[in-house]
Amino acid sequence: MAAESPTRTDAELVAEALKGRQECFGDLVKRYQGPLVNYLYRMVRHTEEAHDLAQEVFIKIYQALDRYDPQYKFSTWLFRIAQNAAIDRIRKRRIKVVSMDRPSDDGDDGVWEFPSGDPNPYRDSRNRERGGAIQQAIDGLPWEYRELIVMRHYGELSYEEIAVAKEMPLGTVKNKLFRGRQMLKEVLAEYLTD
Amino acid sequence: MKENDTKTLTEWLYLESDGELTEAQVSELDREASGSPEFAATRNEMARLHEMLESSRIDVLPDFQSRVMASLPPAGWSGRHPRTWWAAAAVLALLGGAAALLSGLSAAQLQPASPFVAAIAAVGDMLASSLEAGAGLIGASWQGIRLAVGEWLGGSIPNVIAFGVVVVGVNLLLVRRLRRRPRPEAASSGSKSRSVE
Repeated sequence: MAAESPTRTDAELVAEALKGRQECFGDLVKRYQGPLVNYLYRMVRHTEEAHDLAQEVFIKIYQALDRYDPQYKFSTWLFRIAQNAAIDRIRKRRIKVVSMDRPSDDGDDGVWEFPSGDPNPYRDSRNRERGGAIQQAIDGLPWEYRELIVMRHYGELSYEEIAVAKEMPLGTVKNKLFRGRQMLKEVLAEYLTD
Repeated sequence: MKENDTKTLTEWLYLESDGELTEAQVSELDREASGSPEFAATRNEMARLHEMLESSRIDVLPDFQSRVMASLPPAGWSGRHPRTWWAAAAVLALLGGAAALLSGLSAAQLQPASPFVAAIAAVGDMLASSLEAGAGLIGASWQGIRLAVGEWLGGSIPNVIAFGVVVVGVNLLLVRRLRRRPRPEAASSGSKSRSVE
């Protein structure tokens, strides 16, 4: 997990925030904004909505900050709330799971890009294509695998954190990630070879 | 590593990119890859898959943090924090101390032999008088309301019915408002996290 204040743990930042030092909560936001926005982006598939949802999650966390138990990881608490928020949002929007052989009609789908500083039209086009392929491959995974893949690669959670957040044994998490990646590897095979 | 451990090695390939392997396990993979081009190709594919996923992350909006911080509402817990009531408590203590001091001084003029006891007695008298006055005010208010309502109803049936309708209406409004109150999701999530994690 990326750290902005490596000298202070999450629990210490929470404790400081509870004493009225709001900037410490700001440090927590900075620390987790990347993984959280990326996790939510992969779940709701819309940049702006992912940011709005992440903001809502941070506000919920802030309001319940005094109930945080420092013996548990802050990240698992954060992602549990984020997961519930994403599922609620998906239900509300009635997002359909995109199948592997059908292009999506959602606004953001299919325009996933890899960052590129090189103004090479071929490469840009290739990146765009790869971005779309990744999203389609992730969307095509069964929910139980998709969720864990997104938590691991976009939420940047460790196996242990995922196990706690999902209330699963560590072995099950490893196994599901293994299976999920195998499926991804098969679907994305053409992008993985030379 | 035995031949029948191929499955384990394959699993390790998936764990390697997460940094979940020990140095010894990575060395084992190196050894296997050097002897098997097929295994080396699979290992390369895994590394590429990991890289593809990592590089498809999006950038967070530059003003996101400030946006979140600007939108933070006053949290319930902030009202329970000492910083919100210590000033009031200090003022109360100061006033109490001043009252005790003044009462003590005046009592000392009357009974110079026991100024401390006189001060305590004076503060006690003051508090008792305040309580008495408060109770009297509340009693008078209720008495006034009772008289006003009684006079308005005055045995008139339409007034009694109107009064009943108002009371029922207010109760219904209260019930409706309570039902509409949004569920405190954050609070419940917080509790859940404690119990589960």
